[in-house]
Amino acid sequence: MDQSGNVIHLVTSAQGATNAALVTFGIYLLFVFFLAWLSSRVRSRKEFVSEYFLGSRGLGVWAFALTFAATNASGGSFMGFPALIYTHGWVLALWIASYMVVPVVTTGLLAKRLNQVARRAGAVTVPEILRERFGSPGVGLVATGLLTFFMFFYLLAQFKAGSSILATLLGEIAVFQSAVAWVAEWQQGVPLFEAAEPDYLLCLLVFSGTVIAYTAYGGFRAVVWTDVMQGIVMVIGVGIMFFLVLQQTGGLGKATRSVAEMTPPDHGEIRIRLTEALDRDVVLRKGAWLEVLEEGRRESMVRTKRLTRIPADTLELEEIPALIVTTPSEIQRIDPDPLAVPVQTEITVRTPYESGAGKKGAYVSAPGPSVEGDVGFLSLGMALSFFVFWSFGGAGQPSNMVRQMAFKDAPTLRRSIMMVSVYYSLIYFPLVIIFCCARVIVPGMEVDPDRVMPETARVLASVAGAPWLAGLIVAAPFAAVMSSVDSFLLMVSSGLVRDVYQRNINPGVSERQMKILTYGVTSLVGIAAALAVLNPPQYLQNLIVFSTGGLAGCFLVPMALTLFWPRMTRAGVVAGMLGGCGTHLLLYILGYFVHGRFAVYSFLGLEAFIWDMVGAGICSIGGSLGSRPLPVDLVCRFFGSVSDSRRNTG
Amino acid sequence: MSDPIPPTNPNRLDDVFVQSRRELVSILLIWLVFAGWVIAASDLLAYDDASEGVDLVFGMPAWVFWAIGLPWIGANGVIFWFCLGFMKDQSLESEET
Repeated sequence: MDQSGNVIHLVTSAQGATNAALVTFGIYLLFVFFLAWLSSRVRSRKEFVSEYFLGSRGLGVWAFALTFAATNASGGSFMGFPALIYTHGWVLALWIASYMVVPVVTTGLLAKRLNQVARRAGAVTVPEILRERFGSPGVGLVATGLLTFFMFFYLLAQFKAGSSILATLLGEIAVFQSAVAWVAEWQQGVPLFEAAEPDYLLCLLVFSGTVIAYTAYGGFRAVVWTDVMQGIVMVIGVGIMFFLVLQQTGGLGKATRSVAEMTPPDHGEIRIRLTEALDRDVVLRKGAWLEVLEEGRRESMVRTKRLTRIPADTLELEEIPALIVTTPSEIQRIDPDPLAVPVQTEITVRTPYESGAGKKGAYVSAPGPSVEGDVGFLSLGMALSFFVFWSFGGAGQPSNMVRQMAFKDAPTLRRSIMMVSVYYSLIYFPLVIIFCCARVIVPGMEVDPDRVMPETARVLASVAGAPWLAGLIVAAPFAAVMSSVDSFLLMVSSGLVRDVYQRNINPGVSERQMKILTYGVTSLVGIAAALAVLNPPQYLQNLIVFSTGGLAGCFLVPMALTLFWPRMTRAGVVAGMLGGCGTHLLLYILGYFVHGRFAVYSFLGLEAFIWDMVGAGICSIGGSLGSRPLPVDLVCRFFGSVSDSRRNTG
Repeated sequence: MSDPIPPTNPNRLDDVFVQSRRELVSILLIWLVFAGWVIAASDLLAYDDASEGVDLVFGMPAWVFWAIGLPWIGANGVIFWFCLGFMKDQSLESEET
């Protein structure tokens, strides 16, 4: 028992595992900076703008496939997604099922044509393609404006997510705690930083400093190379967890049968009475297991949801929120935390799940248990919505479009689609299996579901007798969020420097000035995003959905018609982008009035993105048919055959 | 950056454009087939009451295997066929088209 300090419970964390996480993280950061330095060496021998923003269109199979896969697998894939699997069970396989076709849809739908048109246009950014295709600086500026608007929201969310993940991973390390104490002292009296949580602030500084430095210094090639490394880290992490979890649960069949026996826990409140008063203030940790006895028999197990201070000379505490386990086998299996003094625990408030409460089999069937809403977690209509959203939402992301402009040749595209298919199959379906099995080996994680990934890694590695493995496993979520942030940061800076400044304000800018401006703007955008999340915004997940849905709604349909419909006009593309954006904003405004908070209105129960696409499509086609066609030579430049033209003129 | 050569003949569509359009339609069909499989099979099998026990296939609930696992394997097979047998290697360089 840990009698040092003021903690009265036994501390069960494996210090070896967390130290390994710190060492792994350190090595990882060093390698990231090494790759940034290496890419800057390559860049010094090439033309700046094309190399910095597009890697000189030279991405091979590994680089293209893994940067594509890693950018799409954001922090949510390794923190939010495992939390959802753990909380709702096997139905998450249906929620994520679209990933079986995501590689071919997101990578193949527009890629070949986009790459060709970008080459013909000499474009290095998405707005630049639109500008050249329609011969209109105004079209490019509208695209840049929309892109910057939605991407900045996304950056905010990812900076917050990255910092939170880092705080979770390093939370129990002594060195980190000392640094947090130092930051807490330093931030006092500093107006901008005073209100931030010190551990979050420290992680935000480390995370944003690292990403801004290597992205600004290394450019697109550094982002791609680090993505490749991050993609490899992710698949290795998942592979190790998959093997360990099956080994430690006795196989998938045994684990699934155990999960089928589980009933969703209740949320509620408990009252703790001490049998004797303490002579000093003590702390009961968040996540402590306590048993509830009735006539000397164990009636239930509860887990505290927050850290609780117990003042000296106190016998009864105020009610504290807790998770109440309801599955009989788990109640008998879980060991209570050993405490310095005996306590009596009483359940005072009990709130069952609205869907699935007390029902065996809820975790192995659809729609899955849910705290809110009596229809369960995933209705069939929502499953269809997600099948559309993951595939086409991904295809409409400008960050993916940029990568599609950068691959080397058609064989690279073909091989990359196959590679991404295998890669996603090795990541997403195994994640569902891992975290369904995790219900068996790490019970009660509903108190803090976002911690299920590092906690499962710690337990698996610890039981396997190789705590250092936890370090490797937990690097995966950090790699995932970093690989997304760097790409989006570069998108925003390229939009401002290339599309706004060079193409519209100062076309004669020298390469040296462009370099200085690019480094400066990339750094400034990153710093602005970091400052904006010093006090993180509420409704973070909603912010991510708002920005990714908005980007896809604005760009997918107009870009597809731009590439495949010769009759598309300037008015059509602008109307399409604004129509998609307008529909998106309208559904959020309606959502605000209906729900009373920042949330989307699901018209007919479908994802907003589907209506965005409908809005963008109607506006694009209507705007094009209602306006004068583009000049023939401009259409021929992007739709005509070069060889034919040469033969005719020859 | 090299200056791209603009084609000027309005009477013939570019080969890459035509093939890309074919590939786009095929991808939409592939998506439709697997969306139909997953949603229809889930509707039939996934929403059943499992309180009396769960049927397993390879250790996972049977509905997961038939509605997601099997089509996932099938999708990988179709994607490989699409990439190896349907997509065409064409030069994307405007100077060489």
